Amino acid sequence: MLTPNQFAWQSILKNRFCSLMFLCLVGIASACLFGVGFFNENLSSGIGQVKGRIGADLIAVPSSYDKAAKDALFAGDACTILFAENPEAQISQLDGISQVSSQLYLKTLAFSCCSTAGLQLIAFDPKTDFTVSKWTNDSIENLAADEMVVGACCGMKQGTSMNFYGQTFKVADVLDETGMGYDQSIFISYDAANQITSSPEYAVYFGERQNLSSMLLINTNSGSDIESLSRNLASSLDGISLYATDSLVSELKSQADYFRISGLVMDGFVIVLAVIALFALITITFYQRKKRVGSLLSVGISRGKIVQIFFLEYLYLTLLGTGAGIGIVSVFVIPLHQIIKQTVNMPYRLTDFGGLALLILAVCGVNLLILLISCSLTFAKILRTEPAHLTEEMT
Amino acid sequence: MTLQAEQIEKVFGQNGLSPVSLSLSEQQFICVTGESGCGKTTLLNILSGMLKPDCGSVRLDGRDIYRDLNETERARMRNSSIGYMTQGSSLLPELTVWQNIVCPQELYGRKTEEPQFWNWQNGLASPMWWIRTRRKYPAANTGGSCWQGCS
Repeated sequence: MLTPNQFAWQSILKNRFCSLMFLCLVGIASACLFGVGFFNENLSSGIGQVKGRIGADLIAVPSSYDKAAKDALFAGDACTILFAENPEAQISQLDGISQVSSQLYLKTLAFSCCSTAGLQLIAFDPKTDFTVSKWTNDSIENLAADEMVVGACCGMKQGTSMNFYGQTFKVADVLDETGMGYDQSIFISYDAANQITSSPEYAVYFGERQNLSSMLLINTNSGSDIESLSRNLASSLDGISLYATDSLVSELKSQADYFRISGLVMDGFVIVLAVIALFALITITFYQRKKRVGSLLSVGISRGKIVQIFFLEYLYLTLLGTGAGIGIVSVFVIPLHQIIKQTVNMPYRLTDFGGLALLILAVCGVNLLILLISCSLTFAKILRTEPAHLTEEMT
Repeated sequence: MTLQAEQIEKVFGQNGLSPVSLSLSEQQFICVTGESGCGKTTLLNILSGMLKPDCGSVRLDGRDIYRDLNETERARMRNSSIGYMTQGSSLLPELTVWQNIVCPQELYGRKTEEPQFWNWQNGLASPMWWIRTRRKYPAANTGGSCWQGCS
């Protein structure tokens, strides 16, 4: 039986060129809207993890390694960072400080001593640590000197073995993706790191010193003014840069806002162009099919039924175009998310399924709105024009 | 069924239809003739509910089709009581010949079977024409076949 649905599909297939143009316009608009939205959602997802993943109120790094430390934390650029003198003992005795944990950042070498160059080794003390252990299972508390916990994007599975600085480490656990530099990092115990830095072959790389440290993660007492504590610490300790995690996150959010606003402006242009193009296409198509509308009215098909048939036709094309645009972006962007992360140099993590679903619904909603605006003149003509004027029987 | 038109008039700039009245009773067959531009098409459009006159009334079985019926009711009236054939081919190119014939019924959920069609068409269509054309689209048929479909 001929239904409005079937009529709409037959119209789509019969008018292939117009249907294809419609699909392309909607597909391109959807790709832009989804691509921008997906990028911003992933940025938000990455930045949202930062405070929890760092897990500390303050971070202390050597002043000369300011940029290197940020790049290692957020972009995963591996480096070796060393304090001239480990200030852990000094800081832990200061007022307002509740916890201090030291981490040692070592970059793997492009020599035969290391299976892979350019990875970040992060040594931590399981006894004082309050950051890494929150994100792993129980295996980290008893991490042996020949074991390691790896980030999500190191390309290693549990049980595999790798050599770093002449020592063999076995993967005890793999962390979930963080969107930060931790994804390309390998966590080992301080005991294992001390064996490396004090060994005869490699001590020269680290200045042949003991008690090395790269970064101190500091928690303050509850209710402390973190900003003023940070200023006081910075003024009393030479050669050290202090960052409040909240300030770091605010800075990242400001940078992300720049991308978001730019994206919204671009989305605005895309929507306006899509409305204009679809409005023109739909209106021109209506004028070409005016006589058919008149014929339908002449045999007693109501105006509402004709609007329903046209709307179904354009709705199916919109949904197909939206799916195509989203699909094409997903096929290209999702596999490239590591490259995008390294390019933006900010925490960047694939958003969860709920966020993705909301984004897809939002794109569909915007496209439906574009469709309704674009069809407005056509539907008004169908609803208001006398049937005789549509059949073109009148001169 | 009776159709009455009283003093119907329609103006299009300098052309149009001068005031005209007519009355048709059941089974009556009339032919309207006139020179080009005198308003024959305009008259037919007004009588079939396709064009509202500037003044006058058109009554089908006593009901004024422009004052007593709204647009939806006029469409239903055209669907059930009035047959309208355009000067040019009015077959929809998206539908097959059969779909063109049944669309006024089936779009409202009233399925039409081919035996019903044979009862309606009353000898207008030949079986050979029907077999050749019913599943084809208008573009694949000859002009004459399309006209048979329109009628």
